[in-house]
Amino acid sequence: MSKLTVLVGMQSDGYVFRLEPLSKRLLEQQGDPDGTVSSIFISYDTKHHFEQIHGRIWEHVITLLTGSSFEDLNRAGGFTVVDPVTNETLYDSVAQHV
Amino acid sequence: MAVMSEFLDRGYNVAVPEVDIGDDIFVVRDRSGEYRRIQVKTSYAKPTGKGTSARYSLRRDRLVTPTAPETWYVFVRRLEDQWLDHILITREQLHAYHRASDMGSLSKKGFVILYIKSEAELTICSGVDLSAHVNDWSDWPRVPH
Repeated sequence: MSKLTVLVGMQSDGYVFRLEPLSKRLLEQQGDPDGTVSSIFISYDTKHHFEQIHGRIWEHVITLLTGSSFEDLNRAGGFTVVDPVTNETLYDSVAQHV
Repeated sequence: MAVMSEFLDRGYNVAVPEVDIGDDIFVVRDRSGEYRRIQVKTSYAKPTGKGTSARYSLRRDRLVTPTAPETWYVFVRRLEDQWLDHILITREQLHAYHRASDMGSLSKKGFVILYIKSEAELTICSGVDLSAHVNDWSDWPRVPH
């Protein structure tokens, strides 16, 4: 499976995460697992407090969006978190764990 | 106003931001407090040989950026002195059409240009069939009062 892309929107009150359309389509073709959500909103405060204790939140976000564990996704190709406006890569799971 | 009237007629409340923050209107279901963002895009449709064609210009950054709650686009078309059927579609679905089916063209100034054409019962844009989205108020059931 090729690398998945998570798009992030930054609002006045927090982040909104969704799978990039082609990534979403890829997962649908492979059979959507149960227990996924289509989008996740996390306030800036929540992200900050969470990461102080548990580390990067991206890895938990991708599990909720895909139904797959972080480890499974990395074995299958990994994922990136991208700002869709600037195309800046905010996080690359493969680069982080090389 | 036409779009606002339709939502009001269906029993929803409508709010217009005092300051332009990007969304045209907010539609609120009073009982639950649930609200959604609406981008209203209006165009004067031109008659073609077999139907109509309407041109829209969407900001690409708004099209590709996830929002919470999700943003809806309502495409409004005016043909001479009457409104044609509205086209309702979520930002996510529109983005998917744009990415997966190359719907629309990108201008140099960062806008996505759409030409929506209707002929009889068929409504298409860049070869993508949008007919299912015409007058699709299924996500906005009438609210009993």
